[in-house]
Parts: sequence; structure tokens; C-alpha cells
Amino acid sequence: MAIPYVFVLIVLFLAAVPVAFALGATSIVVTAIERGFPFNAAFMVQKAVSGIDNFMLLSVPFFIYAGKVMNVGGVTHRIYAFAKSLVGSLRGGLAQVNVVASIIFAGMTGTAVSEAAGLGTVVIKSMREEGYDDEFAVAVIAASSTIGPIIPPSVPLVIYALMANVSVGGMLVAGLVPGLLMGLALMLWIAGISLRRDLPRGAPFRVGVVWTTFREGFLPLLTPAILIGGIVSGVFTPTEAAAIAALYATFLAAVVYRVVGVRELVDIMRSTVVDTGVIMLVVAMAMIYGYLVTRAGLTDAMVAWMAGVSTDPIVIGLIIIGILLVIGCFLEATAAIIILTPVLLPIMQASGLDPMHMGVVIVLTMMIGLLTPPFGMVLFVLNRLSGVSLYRIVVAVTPFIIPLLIVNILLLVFPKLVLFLPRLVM
Amino acid sequence: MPIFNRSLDLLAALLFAAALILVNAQIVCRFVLEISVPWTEEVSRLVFVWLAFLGAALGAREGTLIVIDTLPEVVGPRWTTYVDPLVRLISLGVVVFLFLGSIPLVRSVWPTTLATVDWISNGWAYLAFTVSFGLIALYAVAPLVRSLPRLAPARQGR
Repeated sequence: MAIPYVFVLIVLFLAAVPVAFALGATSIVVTAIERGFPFNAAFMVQKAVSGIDNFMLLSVPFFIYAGKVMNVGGVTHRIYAFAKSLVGSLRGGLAQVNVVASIIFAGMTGTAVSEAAGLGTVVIKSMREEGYDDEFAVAVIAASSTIGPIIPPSVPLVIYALMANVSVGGMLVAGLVPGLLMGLALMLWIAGISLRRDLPRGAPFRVGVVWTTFREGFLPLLTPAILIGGIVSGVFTPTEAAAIAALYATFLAAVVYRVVGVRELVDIMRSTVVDTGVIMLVVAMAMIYGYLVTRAGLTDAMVAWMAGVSTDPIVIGLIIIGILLVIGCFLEATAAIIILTPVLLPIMQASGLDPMHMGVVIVLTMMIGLLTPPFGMVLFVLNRLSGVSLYRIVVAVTPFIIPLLIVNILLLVFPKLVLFLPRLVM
Repeated sequence: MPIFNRSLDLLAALLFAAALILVNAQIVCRFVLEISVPWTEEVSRLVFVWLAFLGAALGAREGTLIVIDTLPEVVGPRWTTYVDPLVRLISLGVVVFLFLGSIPLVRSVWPTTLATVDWISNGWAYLAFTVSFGLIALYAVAPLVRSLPRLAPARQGR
């Protein structure tokens, strides 16, 4: 009975039916087979609406908006300058600067695409001027943009938390240490490349420059403190923290730096609503599909099949990572998280994997998918920003997947790396 | 149509601003004024449902809905000629079916109200779905309707 759910969906996906409508069409077809056609679709609409009628999901547009306002509000330049003063003197300095700037910017943006788009312009220009080749610059930006959705705020982690029914605040806090580990791994990887290629060092480290750039970037640097501090202390819910961050970003861009006018703000709000709506349409339709799939026993069948393969949580985790890496090549990351989490959740629970721990592993795996063709959104953004061909970007970025995968496997094998912080503070 | 579209764009921005103000007002009331305002969360959820479904309709208008376009990229223009109309038809079928299914639901839920605001109907949340899917259907059909007058003389000419 469960086979049509998968078969029809895959056929529609391959036929390039929009993901949301493919989920809707599969739900309609399978229900028609069960009940006959026409049937009362009210239960589907009810599932779709109640699926997104959730206060926690309201953090998604706020995170998206804050990132967009920061991008146009002159904040990226200040963060980049501060990061440059910190690590610019290292060998391959500008590449290291990019990683540090990404870690800081990750505390303000919730998606890899906004991270790549925001820092990309500044970093590409700067690295070109210092004589770095375009491919290396673009590869570093692409790889470090994946830190954005792991360090809070994070749109994919919020969506995962909702689909897996775990605490949104806990899930966001759980991303902090893994995000920093990703940054460290990328910096070590770049250090190796820099030594091999004998890349140049930047200006020597000076405390005075660090202090000046810190002062200039102090107000934007407060955003992660507000967000993470607010959530960790339990003073605000994640949605409230996101709303404060969104308001604060508006205040910085429109009042303090005066680089954004009312017209631009209205346009950012409109595009935020569109970005949110496109994701939420998939969430709404996936709620119908998820309900029907669970009722048809597909998830039970998957759990039984997995149990036959192995009962070792590490092996199950590795299989999940492997499957998601393949799916991540073809399916947009957020859509994949929405569709697959309800299916993977019973498997994780049956094999003793903590859903919060696996949330970070799953989201990181899907972020690696953003770096792989043909559905690598980050690659498309950087292709547009840099003018470097997609093929050359893919070739350059592939080696950077190795340190990210190593971190992901470490996170899988040592759950405490993910779980100790949320258990400590939440 | 341009005025209609611009109005929807403005409505989208207003809904976002309303959600932002509501949640921040909730924080101000709790921490600064030290008063409990129970309706802000429920109303902001309702605003979010409208924001999300209106955004989905605008996304459909702009052609930014999430699609796995690997096969069309490989096949090229022949895909647009032969498969694309079928894809559009399937999408339209889903949208119209769920649009029609939502109308009785809005009617049946309309007499009930939010728990914290007794003059706002629960039906408004489902109406967001109806309006969104109505708009998506409209945006799917509009290009077909616009192309009809051009097709008719061409056929006569032949």
C-alpha cells in the first residue's frame, strides 16, 4: 500500500512538478485510490493550515528578514574588517578571514544562501585584489557559507525542530558548538592548502586595528549576543529573539547607518514574505503527505527494513548521512528536511539516536548538498556573483566537502559535541 | 493586473510589519509594562498563516516555487514543448481541487472564534488557504487566457 506514495512522488519530482504540488498530487492520488474520487478534501486543507499555524515558525521570516537587512545595511563590510584584523596576518589570510567572518555573520543570518550572497561580494572583490585565484576564493566562500544555518539563528534547524517535534530553542543552541567546529576544520584545511601553495600573508596583527574594527562593528556584533543570549537565558522564545533581531537590524540599517530607506525596507519585507511562503507551501503540503504516509505504515516499514540492515546507531546514522548526501544533490535542502524528517524520525528513535543530536547531523548533511550539483543553491549564487563557471566552482569546492564531512561524522560518533550545550543551558 | 499585483505586494509587506510589531509588542508588554496580553501570540499566528500563504501565491506568480529541474535542464527545449504543459495541468489540478475543498471548511469553521479574541473567526486561517490557492490558480490560468485572442486570429489566418 505504501509503494504508490513513494513511486508517484518520485515520478512527479522527476517531471519537475513544483515540490509542494507534487506532494499534494501524490496525497490526492493515493487518497483517491483508497477512498474513490471525488472525496472531501477538507481534511487535507485542515492538515495543511494547522501544520503552519505555529508560533515557532514565525521565527523563520524574522531570521530571513534580519539577514537581508544586514546584507544591504553595510554590516558585512564591518564584520569583514573585524575578521581581517583578527586573522588576516595568517598564511592564506583572506581565506581564513572569510571563515571567521562567516562564523560571526552566521550569528545574524539563518540561511547559507544569504550568508554566501552577503559575504560573497565583499570577499570575492577583496581576494581578487590580493591576487588569489577566483576558484579558490569562491570555494572558500561556498564551504564557509554552510556554517550559517548551523550556528543560530538557523531556518533549517527551526524547520527540523518543528518536523521532529523537538524544542526549537534547544535545537538552535545545539548548533553552536558544531558550527564552531566546522569553522575550525575549514581553517585547518585552508592552513594546509596555504602551506602547500605558499599563499600570501596579510598585514601584521595589531591590537589597535582589532580595537578600531571592533568598535566600528560593535553594534552589528551585538546581534548574535541578543539572539543567542536571549534564547539561552530563556528570557525570550526563539520567535521573540528573532523579532528583536529583525527590529534591531532595521534600526541599524535605517537609523544608525542610514543606508536603507522606507522603499527598500518595504521591498525587503515583500521578498521575505515570498521566501517564507515558498518554504511554508512545502511545509503545508508535506503535512498532508506525512499524515497519509504514517497512516499507510510506510514509516513502520522503513523502520523494519533499517532494523534488518543494522541496529548499531552509528551504522544507521552513516546510512542516513549517505542517503541524504545523494538526495541533497537533487532536492532543495529545506524541502528535503521537511519531507524526510517525519520518515527518518521513527528510524532514529528505534535505533536509539537522539532526534536533537541527529537534527544537527541531518541539517549539516543537507548543507553539504548545497555545494553539490545539480541543485546546489550556493553554487548558483556564487556563479552569479563571481562570473566563474559552475563547472569550475564545483571542481574547486569539492575538496572542501572533506573537512565538513569529517566534522559531520565526528558529530555523529560523539553526540555530546551537539547535546552538552543544550542540556547545560536549556 | 499591475495595480492588483502591486496591492498584493504591499499587503505582503504590511503583514510582515504587523507580525513584527505584534511580537515586539508582546515583549514590551511582558518586560516593560509588566502586563500580560494573551491575544498577541494567537493573532500573530493568524497573521503568519496569511503571510505564508500570500507569500506562496506571490512565489507562484514569480515562478520561484521549489522545483527539481534536473530533467528539464538535461532534455532542453523539447521538455518545454511536450512535458511542461502537462506539469502545469497537474499543478493546476492540485490547486483547484484543494481550493474547492477549502471552501466548505471555511464555512463550517466560520462560527467559531479565536480563544483569546472572540470577534475574530477561526475561519480566517482557512480563508488564507482559499485566497492563496485561488490566486495561484488565477496566476496559472491568466497566461492561458491572455494567449487566447492571439491564438484565435492565427487559426483564422490559416
